Amino acid sequence: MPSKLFSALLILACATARAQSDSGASAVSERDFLGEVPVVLSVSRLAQPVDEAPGAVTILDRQFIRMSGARDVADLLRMVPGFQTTTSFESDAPLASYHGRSDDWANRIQVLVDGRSVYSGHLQGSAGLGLQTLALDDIARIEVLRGSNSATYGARAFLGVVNIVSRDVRETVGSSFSLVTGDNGVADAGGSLGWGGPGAAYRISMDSRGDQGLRGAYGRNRVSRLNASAAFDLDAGAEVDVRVGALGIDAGRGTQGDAGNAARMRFLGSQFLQADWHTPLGENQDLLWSYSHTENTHRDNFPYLSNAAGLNYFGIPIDFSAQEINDAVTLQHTVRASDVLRAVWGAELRREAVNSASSFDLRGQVVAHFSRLFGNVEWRMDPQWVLNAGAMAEHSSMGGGTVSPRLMLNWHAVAGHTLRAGVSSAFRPPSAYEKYAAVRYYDVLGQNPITTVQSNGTVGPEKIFTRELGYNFSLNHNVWSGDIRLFEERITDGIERPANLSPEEYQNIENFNITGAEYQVQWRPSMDTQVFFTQTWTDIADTTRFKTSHGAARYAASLALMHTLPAGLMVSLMHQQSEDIGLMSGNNQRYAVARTDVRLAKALRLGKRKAELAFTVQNLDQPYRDGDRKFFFDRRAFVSLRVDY
Amino acid sequence: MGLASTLCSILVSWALWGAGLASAAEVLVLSSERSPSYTDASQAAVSELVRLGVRRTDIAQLYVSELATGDLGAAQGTKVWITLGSDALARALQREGRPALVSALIPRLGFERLLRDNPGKTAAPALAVYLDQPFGRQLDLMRLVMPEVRRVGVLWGPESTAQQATLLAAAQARGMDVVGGSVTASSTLFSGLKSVLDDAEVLLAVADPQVYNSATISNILLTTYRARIPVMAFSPAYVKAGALLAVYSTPRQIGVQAGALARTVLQGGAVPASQYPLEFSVVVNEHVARSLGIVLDEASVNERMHRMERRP
Repeated sequence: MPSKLFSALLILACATARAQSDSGASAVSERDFLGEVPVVLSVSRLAQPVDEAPGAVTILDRQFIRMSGARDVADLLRMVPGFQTTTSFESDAPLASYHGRSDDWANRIQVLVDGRSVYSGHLQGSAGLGLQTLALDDIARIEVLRGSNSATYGARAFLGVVNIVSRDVRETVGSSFSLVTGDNGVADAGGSLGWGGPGAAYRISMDSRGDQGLRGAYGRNRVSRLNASAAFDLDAGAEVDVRVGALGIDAGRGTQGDAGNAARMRFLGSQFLQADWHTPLGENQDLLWSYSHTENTHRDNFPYLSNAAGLNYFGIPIDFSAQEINDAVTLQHTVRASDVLRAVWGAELRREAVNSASSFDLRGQVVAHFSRLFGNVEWRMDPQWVLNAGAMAEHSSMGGGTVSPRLMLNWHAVAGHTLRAGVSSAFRPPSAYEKYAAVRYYDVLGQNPITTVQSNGTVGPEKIFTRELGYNFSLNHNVWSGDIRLFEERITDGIERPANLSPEEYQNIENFNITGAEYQVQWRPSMDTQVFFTQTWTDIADTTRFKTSHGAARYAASLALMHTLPAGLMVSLMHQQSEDIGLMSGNNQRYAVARTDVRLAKALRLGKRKAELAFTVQNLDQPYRDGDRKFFFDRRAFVSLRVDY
Repeated sequence: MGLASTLCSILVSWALWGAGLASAAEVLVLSSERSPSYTDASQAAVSELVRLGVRRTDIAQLYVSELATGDLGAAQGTKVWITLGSDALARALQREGRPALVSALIPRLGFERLLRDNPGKTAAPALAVYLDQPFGRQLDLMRLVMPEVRRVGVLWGPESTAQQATLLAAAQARGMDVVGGSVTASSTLFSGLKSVLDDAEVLLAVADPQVYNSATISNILLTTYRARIPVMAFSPAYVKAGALLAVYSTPRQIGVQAGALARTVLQGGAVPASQYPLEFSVVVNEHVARSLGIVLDEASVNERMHRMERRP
């Protein structure tokens, strides 16, 4: 499959690439000053400024990503207020969730990679696999929208959105590579090659990162990626972007001696093709067409080596394997009706097919169709007041018909100070697994099934109603910036398995209320120094399930200090702590976890090329429990060498 | 075709000759093209000359397309030519025994190149009102709207690179550094751009058709915007396309200044030096500014810039 995708890309590249002629004269003349040029930054290309966005936003840029020393996106998101993360590969790939997780999964946030939604219907809608799509070196920035945002970002944006934006291929012409090695079997390597000129630019990147994983967890883990991107400039400011990629994760899971969850290696794979065609229609409106095709593969099986279920069940296969194929096509029209009114509206058609003989026993396959209409109006009622009003209507075979509206009012009280208030409601349709899982184990003769999970297709969407107040500031030309978010998120009909029910079944039984406050402050006195500090207080009430009520820390804080000394020596310190949080297999206990990382790096010159040698220590202090009571993150030190484009 | 143009030039020469008989023109305004920019500049120059006391009948107007076979008829007796655009200047410089020239609607590099290429034999002076803005003015504007900026990125092309020293001096005088990227051919655009994106806080666009043209502008504006690096451009068209702002002079403003210079030359005495535009405007793309989180009000920026330049 990847080879097919790459040949498709190459054909497209050849078909679309065209020699760009220079603009005739090569000497400076008045024509350079008096001539017309097409509109490039058309209305949809211009992002909303943070203080006019309908919600709280955290942006992690390239400098932050690099200087953090993180090797993984989830590891970066732990610095974002309101997030819970783990580096464990036990239930999925490393997970990140906002304001608590749903059971073992992180399925209440939307993860978009260059606009493509990357959740897995078989992994109960979880986005852990999708978070691995890009190597950190290929990421330009990560925008985190804290709070429900379905009106703009689709049904999965139930509690928040992680928007991963890859580096512009025009920025990465040349070659680069990096090597990392250190404690705990840390061994990463990556390389990237970019080429092209005005008209068409390309990049291919490959990387592989791996380590021995967490102490207490089974097996090592390795993530390998191949991504290719191309950008073609067409006439009149139009652009076509094509991306293909393949991702494979080999990671251990399970517990030695546990027959029903044996220690074994599991494979998670994903490959995709995405094409976006952006065409400005003059200065004030433009169109975006997107198509994406994603295939996910899960291979996870082992023999059941126990007589606990009866002699006839010894040696039967236990299989969590599946194949998913998701196709989505989107049309989006953005229009600036006047200086005070900007609107975006569009439609999306999406098909998701999950094949798994073991998860959907008799039916074998679940095919879901989604059709969505969405729109948002940004109305600058007055220079000081901005109203964002939006809604998404969705119809799907998984969740029926729903409408998710949102209203947010931003008031620029004084220059640099904005107050925000808003309400929204949203729905998350059940994933294929939650709605139709039917897991049965047959004896060695293929008879006498034991049913462990039986969802009969009646579970409906879960709902959220959010009220929030916010404050955003930016002082002294952004030397100081930050925001505060006060929130109340009421989840009803939450999808969960009732305890002690056999066989297990997903039902709309969870109702709870998340309230709290979080803030972030950033201080950037110069390009060489940045300080980022956050605190979060979260209270999850009205539920008797411990896992739910303690899915988020009651108190959490993070601090990042980054400074570049004159000699090109870069120093970073990252600290994150969570108090009073429940962990997987934690038996209703509450834990405190804390981790401090330091990184020392030196910028070098290798001939004409920029390079960087870095030494990172993750978790300076005592081992902490990472996501699960049984898993420990020990101190890790590693060195990395990076040679740049 | 040949017959038509010959006939046309005969008619034009005859008309001019006729006019010359009535009263020999003192000033000729020679435009490269008939498009609005040139017409605006031409009209403004004529009005300014008239305002300064030159009789309208002493001013002749011609287009380069009307000059066939170098026949300039009534232009023979003129004392000063105002040339608008590169073609007009080139034609004027090629003329044997040309009078004094005031060249306008031409950037400094273009003017100097044409002078170099056409040394001629005449001692008559040639001076210019440049179309481009002095670097000092552009850097002042930059400091006004983004006071924290220290590192100014520039993409130097094969021709604009001659201005490096001038920019460096202007930047140093204001405590700013210049981060240069070199674009020698279209294939080196991205590597040049990259060196600027890595280290600069703002991109100052310096005109050079090898760097800024219709094939590259999309790349430059998209890449810089995505890196959140504002672009200060050299023309309002680039601002409409997505640059943050530009300081520029309209053809009308240039025409007025050229008219005034021509009048000075006409009066004899010391010949003034070439000069940058005195009058200018600042244009801001408020959508881009807002998106980049920069608070900018076009009217107030214009007012503050003009006030700053009027200070002694």
